Amino acid sequence: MTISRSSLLLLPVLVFGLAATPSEEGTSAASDAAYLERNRQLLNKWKADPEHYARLQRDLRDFWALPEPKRRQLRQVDHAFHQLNVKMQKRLWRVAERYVAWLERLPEAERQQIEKTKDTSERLHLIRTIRERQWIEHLPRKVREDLEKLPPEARAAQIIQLRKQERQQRLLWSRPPAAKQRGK
Amino acid sequence: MAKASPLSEQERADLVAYLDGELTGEAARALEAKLSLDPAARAEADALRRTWELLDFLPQPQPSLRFTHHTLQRLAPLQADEQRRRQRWCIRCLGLGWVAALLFSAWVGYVGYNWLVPREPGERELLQDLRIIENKRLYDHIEDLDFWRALDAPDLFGEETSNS
Repeated sequence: MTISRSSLLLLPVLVFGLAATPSEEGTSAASDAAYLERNRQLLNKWKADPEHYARLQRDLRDFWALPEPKRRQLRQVDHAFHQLNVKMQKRLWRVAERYVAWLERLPEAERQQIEKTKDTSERLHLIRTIRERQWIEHLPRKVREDLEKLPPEARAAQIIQLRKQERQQRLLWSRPPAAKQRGK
Repeated sequence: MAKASPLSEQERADLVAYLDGELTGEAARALEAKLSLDPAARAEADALRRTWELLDFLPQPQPSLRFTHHTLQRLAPLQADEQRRRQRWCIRCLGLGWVAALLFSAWVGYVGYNWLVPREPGERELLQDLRIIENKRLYDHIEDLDFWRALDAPDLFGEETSNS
């Protein structure tokens, strides 16, 4: 089979056209018809709430404005999360909601500092430091003053002890009255 | 009986060079002195000059008409090889040029399209990533599952259990 010269001349044009055709990002699993159908039903339901639908549109634009690696990262988080069992999903979901609510209430400078820290362990250390400082600030004045007088090691041990006491107290309060009676 | 030559071998060689106009300087002057003083040497020089002059009257050998034809015939395969080498080289250059042109076209197409036509997400994109878009507010702050799990600690954002 021979290829004419004019066909060869058209080859770069063809390659140009193929390269210029946008590829569909993240469609490997997401193109599944059942998945799309389920999403379509959900979306139709959400469209009934204009506020919800407007937020979706805004988040969609924001998502596509993100750089490609960041979009990929969000997809990976979502995929990994949905591989967990339902119980763990619910648990982690509540964790995420508490974390994001806390983050949004933080002063701007501290929030920025957390978000700019790329290293996970450093970021966790920073979050833990701020959480501990906030916790100490909410302690009764007398306890706080006693705590501040302690040397660092004893102080850390005392914080652990106080936290444990607080958790036990909270659990006791969260139980129904009958259970409290039995617990005594 | 042959008369002995009055000239030595070196002198004869000098004489031949002299007649050819190739002897200069001191050697030429020495030979001229010898020729003026020695009649025998002068006679030999005259004999040689006449011989030289006679050579001009001899017919000049001409190359045969087939000589050129034969030579060109012998050169032809060499020329063909050279031509084939050049052709192969040209084909290779052309091939490389095409590959470069294809790669360049692909790159220009991809970059150009993305630059000229910014992606405007629509309902299709929303359907594809609905779960992510719905949860983006939370996902934005969670870089990976390990980080998420680490937040699930009692002193951070984890749930308090009776044994913690």
